Amino acid sequence: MNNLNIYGQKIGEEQPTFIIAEAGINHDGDINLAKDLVLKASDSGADAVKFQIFKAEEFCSVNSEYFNLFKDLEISEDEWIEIAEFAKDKNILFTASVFGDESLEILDKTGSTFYKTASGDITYKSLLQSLGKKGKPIILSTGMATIGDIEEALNFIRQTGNSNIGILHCVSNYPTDYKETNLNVIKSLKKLFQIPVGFSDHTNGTIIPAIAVALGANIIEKHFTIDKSLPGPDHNLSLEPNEFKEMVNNIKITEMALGDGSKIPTEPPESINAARRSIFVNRDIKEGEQLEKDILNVLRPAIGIEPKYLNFVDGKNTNKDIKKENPLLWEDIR
Amino acid sequence: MKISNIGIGTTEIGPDKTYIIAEISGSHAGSLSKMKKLIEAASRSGADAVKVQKFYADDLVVKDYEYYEILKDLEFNDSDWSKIISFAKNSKIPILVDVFDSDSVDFLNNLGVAGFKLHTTDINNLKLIKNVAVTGKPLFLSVGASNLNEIELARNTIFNYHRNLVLMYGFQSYPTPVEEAKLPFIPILKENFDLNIGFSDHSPGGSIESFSVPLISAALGASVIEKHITINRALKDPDYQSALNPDEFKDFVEVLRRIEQGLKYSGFEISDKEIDYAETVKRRIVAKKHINKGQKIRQSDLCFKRAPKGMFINSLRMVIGRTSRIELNSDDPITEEVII
Repeated sequence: MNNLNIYGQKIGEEQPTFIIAEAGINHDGDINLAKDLVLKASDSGADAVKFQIFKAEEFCSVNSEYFNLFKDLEISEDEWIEIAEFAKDKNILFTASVFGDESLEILDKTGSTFYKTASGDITYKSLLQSLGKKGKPIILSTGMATIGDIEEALNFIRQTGNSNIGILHCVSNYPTDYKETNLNVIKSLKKLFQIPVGFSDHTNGTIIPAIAVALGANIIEKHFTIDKSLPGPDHNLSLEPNEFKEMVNNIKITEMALGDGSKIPTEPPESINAARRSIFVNRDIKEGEQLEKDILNVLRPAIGIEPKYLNFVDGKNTNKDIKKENPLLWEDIR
Repeated sequence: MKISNIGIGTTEIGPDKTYIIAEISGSHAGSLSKMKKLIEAASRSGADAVKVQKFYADDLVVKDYEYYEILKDLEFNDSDWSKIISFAKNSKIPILVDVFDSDSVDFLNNLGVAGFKLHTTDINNLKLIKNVAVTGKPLFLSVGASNLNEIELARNTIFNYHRNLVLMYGFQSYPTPVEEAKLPFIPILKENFDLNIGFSDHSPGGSIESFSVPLISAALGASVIEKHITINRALKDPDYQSALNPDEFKDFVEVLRRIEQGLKYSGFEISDKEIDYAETVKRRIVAKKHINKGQKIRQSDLCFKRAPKGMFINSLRMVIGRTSRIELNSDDPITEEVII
């Protein structure tokens, strides 16, 4: 497994899950809202906050009905630099998916430490290679992709000499139905490509990311907003800060709970003995008396002879008086 | 999954390279010179370590035990043992010893053996297990023919002192038939105990299985392979049944070293050799008939054949409807250069 290293933070096996708050276009074109998203993402426990930086012309035809919508969501270069500096101040990594060379240039000026590509750009060879040439780690979303598509995209990037790549399993339906989530893909992709694999979650709620981590996801990405009721298109499918915190907490719990797969009891011996059984006598017994099963009970706690020796004990003679309800000990029998 | 590597000398035991132990066991037949010959043979074979067994027959077995006499004849005295250990050192091969009594543990530890092995004989002998564990030396624990319960108790005892532990799976049945190997247990054992697993192979010496069974164990994740070595099976020295002759052992090490290269996988990527193969066998686009310079190329002008040059069929969309830059004859390759 080839770990990723983003600004000193290792991503991969035996490492804490790298959590990305996908703020996308939830800034609604407003720098103050963007900064608020950065602040709240940092407070919510995300390792990185991710936006989309674009010039509408880069991906949208001017004749498209959405052109003006996207044009209104543009934030200027100077503002992006200010937002990235704010993120640095708030101790959270800043990045964005970019949609062409112009937006890539803006992102680079922000000093972003890694790149994240959109699922829809997995076949966009020249963009992938522009990113690859920068030599920074790249996280590739794979919604709608076959393993052949992923293979080809990895090769495009590797041809630039950059092998610092992680991939995110992703289903590009909003919201994703639980039935089509196919989280086991995380395991298959990891085995196949031997690079860090994460999950970009578009299901409702906060449970699926934790399960993805249980299945080996090294990275989790989830849409993030400060208020679901805001008018932009992605707010209502995003988590609010309190929900995002809950998701992060679920991931941390999952990491703690997974363990190494080796079944070694951690319960203290006292509680094991309190819960397990041993052989007791159910009436007063005289020294030399022969023990029979009907005067023996197998009861809690485990302070006498173990239950598996019941047949062995049956018929043995005692070598001292034993009071009713006392455990039968090895030194009690001849 | 954490897999701890244990360092013996400069070798690491772990998933990257199989650690091969040449097991001398009783093959020396009680002769110090044979013992030395075997250590030399093990060293020359390329094995990573040689292993011997130190016991006192009278402490190990009762007088009427069927192998008492044989075992009695296999004993060496302390002065011989000092010679054996230093001979191994001079032969530049780490020596591991199966110990059966606590006095030998201290004695051998002082002589500087590379590690200890505990035989299945002592899986329940927690006192001896403890005495071996306190040395902190790398420990190979035989878990063949043992219950999970026995393995766990032994493991727990060792873990009180260190975790430089390899569980050695496999058992001796003079020799052991392949149906008894249950090789899929190796990765299961590894997963459940989160430790390096070794395989003690006892397939019939000289059989195909004597090579293939341990190689398969490596493919299933065994990071240590132990095999018996003998001077010559025809001599029928003790334990000859599952032993390899020195030349066979050398071959085995060579084959394993080659084959383990094929067990490496670091993510799907077509290799240069695979690319060469693909270039030779995959069909390419060639002219089916004469095409004039400047002629628009139609599908009916093309066919697909193995050829030294030309685009593969999956580039057909780049060809159809383009114009030929040059005159082409039947079987001429269609390359990016010939189309406009």
